[in-house]
Amino acid sequence: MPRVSAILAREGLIEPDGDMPQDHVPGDITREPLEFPMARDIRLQALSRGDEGFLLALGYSTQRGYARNHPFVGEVRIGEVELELDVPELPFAAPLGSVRVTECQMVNQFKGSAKAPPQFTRGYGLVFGQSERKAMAMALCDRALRATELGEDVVAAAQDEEFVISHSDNVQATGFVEHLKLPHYVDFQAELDLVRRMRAEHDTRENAGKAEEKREAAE
Amino acid sequence: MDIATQAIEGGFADPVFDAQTVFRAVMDAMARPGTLQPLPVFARPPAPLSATAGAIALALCDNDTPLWLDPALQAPATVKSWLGFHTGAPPANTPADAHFALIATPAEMMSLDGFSQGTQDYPDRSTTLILQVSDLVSGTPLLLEGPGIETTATIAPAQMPRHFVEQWKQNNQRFPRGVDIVLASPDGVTCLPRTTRIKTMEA
Amino acid sequence: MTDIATYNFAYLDEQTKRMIRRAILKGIAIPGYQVPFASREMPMPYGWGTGGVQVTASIIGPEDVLKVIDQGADDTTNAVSIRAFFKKVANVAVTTETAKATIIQTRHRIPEHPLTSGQVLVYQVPIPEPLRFLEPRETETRKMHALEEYGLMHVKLYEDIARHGRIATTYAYPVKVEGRYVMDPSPTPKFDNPKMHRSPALQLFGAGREKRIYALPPFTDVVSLDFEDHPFEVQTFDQPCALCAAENVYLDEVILDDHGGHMFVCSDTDHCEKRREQGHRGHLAPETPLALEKTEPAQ
Ligand SMILES: [Zn+2]
Repeated sequence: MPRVSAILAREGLIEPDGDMPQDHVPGDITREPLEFPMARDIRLQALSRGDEGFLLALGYSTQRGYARNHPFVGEVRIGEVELELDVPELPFAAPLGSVRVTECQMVNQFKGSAKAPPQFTRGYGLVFGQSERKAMAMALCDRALRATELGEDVVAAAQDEEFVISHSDNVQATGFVEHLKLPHYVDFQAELDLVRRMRAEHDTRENAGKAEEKREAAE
Repeated sequence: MDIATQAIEGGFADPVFDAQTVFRAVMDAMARPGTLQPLPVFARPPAPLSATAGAIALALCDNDTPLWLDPALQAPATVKSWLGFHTGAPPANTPADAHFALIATPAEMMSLDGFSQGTQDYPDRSTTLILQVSDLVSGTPLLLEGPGIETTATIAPAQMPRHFVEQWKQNNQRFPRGVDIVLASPDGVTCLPRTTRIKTMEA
Repeated sequence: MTDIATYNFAYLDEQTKRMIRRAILKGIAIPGYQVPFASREMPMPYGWGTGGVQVTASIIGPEDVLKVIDQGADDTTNAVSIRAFFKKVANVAVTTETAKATIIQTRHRIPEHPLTSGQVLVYQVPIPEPLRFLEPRETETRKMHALEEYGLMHVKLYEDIARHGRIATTYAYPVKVEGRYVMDPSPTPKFDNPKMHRSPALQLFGAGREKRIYALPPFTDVVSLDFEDHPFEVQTFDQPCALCAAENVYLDEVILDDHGGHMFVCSDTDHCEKRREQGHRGHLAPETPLALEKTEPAQ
């Protein structure tokens, strides 16, 4: 079954489907630390693992005008993809099973910039499981994050690669927020001591000031 | 013994604990430059790769670390196949692509700046050089200073690279970029991280 | 023997250990520089010591004796959990005694007992980037480190002085390492900063969520940032420990009743216990002597 985007592509009205350079080796965010700015393959992996609520809110913010990108859903589909393992000792890829994914091709109107002619552009979403909402939200974020590539001004949170990708992992976010439950009394003691001292100095100054006012009033 | 057998035999007998012991020796050596961290024989690689250098390679290299071999180690097919079988490390296309370089004859090696020096942003992306030396006493004495050394340390590794002191000074000047050196001697491991300064050298 | 058959020794797979070990070596070779590493998801939440745990798991061997502290104490929840984790997955001996440990993993303190050559102190680090609160962007802070451009940090500290009459940083107080990299010492109180300077122990820092490892080799210059007219000072306490009478140690304020009554006691529980065993007594020390099991051998 042909994709809607392929039909548009025949008329040259939509950009090609995100080609990477010939010699590009796809990265793997589970095996390499992130580095900014990042290539789109890495960014898509991070978004795909991103927290649904976070992507949803950011995608929503683009619809409300914070980096609006005029989206149309080109296609949303759900299906099973085969997983294979390349074992160097084997002449063929070993099948491991299949996994359900949801994919979204967002088609976005684009008036053109110094870097690219007027055409439809794409935002892409691919997420594990059956989750149209997350796939669509991811596609909106992906398109917003292509701002620099397409020569658009970066004006909103959803376009800010480092902001979005640094905060999209909910395992990281959950852990760091919840770690505040751990004891922090050593650092708190340090701050308590400082605040006490600064408060005492402040009160001394205030009192001295008041005494001065009184003295002046009495004169 | 045929090449296939030589490639397979002589690895770690107990990969988990042997790797830990070798790493810990390298870590202590890197943290205390100029000290000899003794290592028993854990690996029996094909010649001319030494037992110590071979063990260090087994402990640190894998398919994520392109590995460069000096001509002496390039020559026999057995060394390449042994390292390939036990570590899976891909051969580095050039010395500048290498994460690790194994050097059997340091006296004949190319200059230090031919290897990856890392970048100013990522100085860690440099080559770690593993030099096989026969001992740490018969060469020119080197007086060492720097982090990890309380006052000074002295080593006299044999068969070091040509103009080593001058080359090392240049390596220091590239800091935070630069290469780190692991000296693999029959008794163990000694390191010269890029922070170590060679203060004086007696003739 | 404890059943560790379901785990590789020290939990991590060997390839992960190699990757972390390589990062540790680079960290030692470039003191104070944060080495990016491919931090793994651990069986504990990020922010709870995943960086420290990965570092410890990559260096530990069967002969090691491990001590784990949080806030200076061996009996705090994070310390207890991590100690139990390594007992289970590495089957190593554990101790609460600073002097007997070969590896000490810590959150927020450096032990009072001086560390010695051969010991390794592993810090759990939440935010490894000392410039992060001044400039949230990694792309910018990386440039600053590359160019050794630390003016922003000095401006911040100086603004503190202008506004508050002093540098208002009490923990995670930035240091300069060997005159080159500005480094975050993790959220230890600045009281502990001088202990890092030329320590005979190797100090390793692991930040799991932020995917960074850095290190201080022994005998490395670690200088707290300051100004000539406002030199660096550590916290001082008006009174000694209420239990062991120690002075010149870091104290915690413990609330005693509903009316705000409090006492100050050592944050380093091992140090406090040791002193009480030696007969030192503070004004609120209980009558009964301590009888605590301090070291548990490997099973
Ligand atoms: Zn006490």
